[in-house]
Amino acid sequence: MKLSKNLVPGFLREISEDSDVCISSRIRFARNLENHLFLLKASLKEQEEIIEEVKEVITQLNHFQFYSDDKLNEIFLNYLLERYLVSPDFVLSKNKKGVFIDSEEKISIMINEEDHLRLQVLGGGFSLDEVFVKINEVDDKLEKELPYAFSEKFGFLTACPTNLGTGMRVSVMLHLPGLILTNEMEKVIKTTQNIGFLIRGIYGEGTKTIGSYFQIANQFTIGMKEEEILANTKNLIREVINYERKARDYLLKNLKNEIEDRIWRAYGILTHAKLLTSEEAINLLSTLRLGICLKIIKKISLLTINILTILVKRANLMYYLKNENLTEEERDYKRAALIRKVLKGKGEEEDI
Amino acid sequence: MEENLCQICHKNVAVMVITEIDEKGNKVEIAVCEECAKKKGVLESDKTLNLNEIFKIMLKAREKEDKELKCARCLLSFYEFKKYGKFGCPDCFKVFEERLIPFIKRLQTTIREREDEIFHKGKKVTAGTKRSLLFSEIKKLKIELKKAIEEENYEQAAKIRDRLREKEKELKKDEIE
Ligand SMILES: [Zn+2]
Ligand SMILES: [Zn+2]
Repeated sequence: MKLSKNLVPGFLREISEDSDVCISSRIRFARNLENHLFLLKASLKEQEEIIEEVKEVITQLNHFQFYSDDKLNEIFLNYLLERYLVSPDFVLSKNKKGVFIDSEEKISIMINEEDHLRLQVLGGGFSLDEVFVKINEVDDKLEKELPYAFSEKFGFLTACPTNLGTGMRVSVMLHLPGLILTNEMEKVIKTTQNIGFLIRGIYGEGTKTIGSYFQIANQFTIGMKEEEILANTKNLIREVINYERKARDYLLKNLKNEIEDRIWRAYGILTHAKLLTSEEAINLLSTLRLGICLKIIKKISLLTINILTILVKRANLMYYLKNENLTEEERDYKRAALIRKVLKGKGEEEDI
Repeated sequence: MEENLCQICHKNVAVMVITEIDEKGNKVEIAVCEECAKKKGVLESDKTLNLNEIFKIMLKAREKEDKELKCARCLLSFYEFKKYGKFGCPDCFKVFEERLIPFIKRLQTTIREREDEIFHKGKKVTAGTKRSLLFSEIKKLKIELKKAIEEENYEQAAKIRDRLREKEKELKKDEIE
């Protein structure tokens, strides 16, 4: 079975030369309005006013789909979260909130998350330069119409002091199974934190990560130009990408049988299991992804892995199956069935 | 406010807490430096008070100061800012400015870079923002004016009308420039 690539957000459809390690790139700007109290102090009525004011401006500018409270039920919020279009804080927030999403699902503007506006632009692979150009375009347009809260000293005024100045957070999603398998990850995490960057697992909490997916982002937002923050973050990411590639080379040279075994076992389970939790599926698809990058698995594309990794998540699976009332066990069964259908017959015969 | 200064000389760092009788005859604990403690004749005996005790007292003094520093627009105090880690409105930054500068430096740099004060160097807002701000203020004042008239609060309405004229003048000036 072939899956339509329209099933995932635009940025996950773009496969480029760095996609073997870097899944996606993202920049977000935090902005607030001078004429309103921040969300800590804004009443629900004021929060509604903020939404109305922003809506008036944004609907004139771009073709965005707008979702507000009446549409944002628990499942739909999680559907957007799983697609990286809103943040966990947005999902949990009790504020009057809304989100604008462009038709390609590469730009989203959250209203009343921690700040009045959170602009974010996403791109496939390691594409921070393009993302940077695009987010500035959107930001410049909005700035002409909305009274941004700004001070010469502190820059864009944000609710939290950790975002002051540029309000800019540059991040990428990386796939680092090589560094995990060679036990180098802890070192990378420590070094990254010591030089003032943030790193965390994408799935799972605390130190327990699922699928070897990590996010790296700049920690500091003030005292540097946006271009400097971008350049510094890019340099670090380039280092980590190279380090991961070295680790994979090492594995291929020194532990070929073990790695092949691990990858074919993942393929075996994915193509035969009858029940799969989303956690297990993401883990096994991650191993399969490594197998594709190492050219051990040849007939499955990275795009297929990107699509499946989104579709196996709870809310996205239910949306895909057009049934929001599936029980956990029904989901595990249908999830396994979907994966089997997509991957079946795509293994490669091995030489005897 | 400097960290833990002696409450007698206000120059040296406090190293201990001594008990004093104030003018009303109440016992009060104050943090003092070694020099002032010597002058008071309370050296060795009171030094056994543990450090936690000192910090507790310092914190209390600071807490009072933090609660008094308050933003008039959103009513957030610096104490609450530290508690929630969030600002209440754009005016907070002017009110808290002095306290914020060292705070932000500590928060936004790695240890080895902590020499200079850090300020915004990035993108700035253009004239467009100032104009849109005036627009939205005018809009808000018009609503307030209508409400005041409806409530027959003419004194208030006159005040709002004055502010409205001011803003409209500003906007015109801005357009000519
Ligand atoms: Zn003293
Ligand atoms: Zn305030």
